[in-house]
Amino acid sequence: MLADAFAAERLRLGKARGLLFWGFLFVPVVSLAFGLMGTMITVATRRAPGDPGLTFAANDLAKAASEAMTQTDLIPVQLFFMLAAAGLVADDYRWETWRLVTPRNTRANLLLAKLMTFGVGAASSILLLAVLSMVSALIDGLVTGDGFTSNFSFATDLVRMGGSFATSWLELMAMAALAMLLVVLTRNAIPAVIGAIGLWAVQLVIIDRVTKGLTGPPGLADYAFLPAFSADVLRTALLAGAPPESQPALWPLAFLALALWAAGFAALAVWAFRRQDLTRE
Amino acid sequence: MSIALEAVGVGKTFGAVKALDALSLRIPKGGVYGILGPNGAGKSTLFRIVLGLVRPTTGEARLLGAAAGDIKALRRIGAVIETPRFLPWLTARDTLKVLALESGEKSPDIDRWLDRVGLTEAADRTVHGFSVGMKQRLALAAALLSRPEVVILDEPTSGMDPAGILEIRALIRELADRDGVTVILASHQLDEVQRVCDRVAFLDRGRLVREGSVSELTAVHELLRLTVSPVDKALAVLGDKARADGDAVLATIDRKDAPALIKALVKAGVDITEARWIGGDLEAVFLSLTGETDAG
Repeated sequence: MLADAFAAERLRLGKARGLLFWGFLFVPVVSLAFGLMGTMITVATRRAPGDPGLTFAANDLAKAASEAMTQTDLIPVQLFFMLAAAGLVADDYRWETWRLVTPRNTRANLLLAKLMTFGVGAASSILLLAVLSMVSALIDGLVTGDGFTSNFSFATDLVRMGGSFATSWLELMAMAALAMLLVVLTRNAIPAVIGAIGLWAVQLVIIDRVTKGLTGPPGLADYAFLPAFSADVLRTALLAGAPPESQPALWPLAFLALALWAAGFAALAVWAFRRQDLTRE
Repeated sequence: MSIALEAVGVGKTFGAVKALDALSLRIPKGGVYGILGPNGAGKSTLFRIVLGLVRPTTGEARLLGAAAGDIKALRRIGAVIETPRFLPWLTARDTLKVLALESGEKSPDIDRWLDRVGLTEAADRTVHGFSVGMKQRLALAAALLSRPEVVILDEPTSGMDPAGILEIRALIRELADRDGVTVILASHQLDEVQRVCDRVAFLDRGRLVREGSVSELTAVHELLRLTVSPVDKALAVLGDKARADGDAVLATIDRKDAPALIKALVKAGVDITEARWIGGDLEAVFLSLTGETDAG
């Protein structure tokens, strides 16, 4: 039953070109465009007369991919993902199509299928972000003459890339589940997007205040309380080159906290949707 | 007798508005069953409760023996509720594909149903450009896609041209007579209901006011209209069976009593210039039950 709803949602999303582009393709494409612009600026600057001829470090493709995947912590990037998450649910209210689909599958399945579809879209988008950033770094290395490193280390690079991907994806899933809950409550995408983004922005302010007073690593209560903090802690550790195994206690707990937030928001969204009267969607 | 839909004391209030007021109704399986009533009578609310879109405030609704909203029962029915709405960017074919997938329908015969509702040529056009009538046809195809035992149709021909109405009316009868599907139909078009339904229920202000077969209900509401002179003499002969209507009298009598009554009038010296049966249709029943001046 959930598989049926998931298949239907995937087909639906595949045909929704606007949602597909703005929600999942725009960010990787713009990221690539920025990367190429950076390359052009570098080339133009170095050719200028009087260039001191500084030496530049070679591009690290694996690091470029890891860093690109953590761009999902930026509010403007999150905005596009939340437009997709909210749009997946809000379209059924806007076009009053719940009456067509709710007699065909359970409400829990219908909503979870939307979250799963968002999960697939977000995962693809993050991976595309990584691939395009490597392409950008490759082009940059060739055009500027800086070259690139390809000393891929399974122990560090794969863990860092996998960790970056998982952190970004889990954080987006938590945000998407919150956005979907807000769509169900308000029957509209705009308050849901503003609500989800706003809540994450507020967390950034709180994180800033909490971390200012810390001398050592944050405790469980610090990051478990805020999903954005869990993601921030993980990203910082991954990008600083401190592999997760160096902080064995922090690694699984931060992931667990993020996963619990995602599951909690999703459960609330399903609960609210199951109790909702669909008089006029 | 197996029951397709049953409501037992179903009530639903929206704020201060009572959409359904302890409605009790049993719709048997088989044939075409019409639900009639003026705007706000509660027809669509009843359907929404049965489909699990809305929860009743009081009472219980059952569909094919299961509680309203039970997904296993819902997958045995098809429904078109109010004005059909679709995702505008999907084609008719993709709309049906998505809905079939939602239902877990592994091999939906989409082309067959598109053909049966007359949408073959528009199958690969996006719904965005569809007229209301075309959307009604698509909704009907969606309702029939999973070969349901019961089909619930809320105003299925609204927005259609006369030829389309005839087609859909024929399709509804065919579904009931050939495919054995129970069709539950809500409509404002009393003529359509009379032509296509076997039994009807009249709702008014959320309550059931009359239920029965179309032939039973219409027979009760036939009137004999006699253009007579003088009217007062005719009324004296007919007593409380008749009332004046301009230069005529309207008599509420059985058809079998008409010859004797006309003989009595002639014998009393009343001139009769015209005699004809009026009413005898659902409109007359509807007006007498709801006091409405029109069916809309």
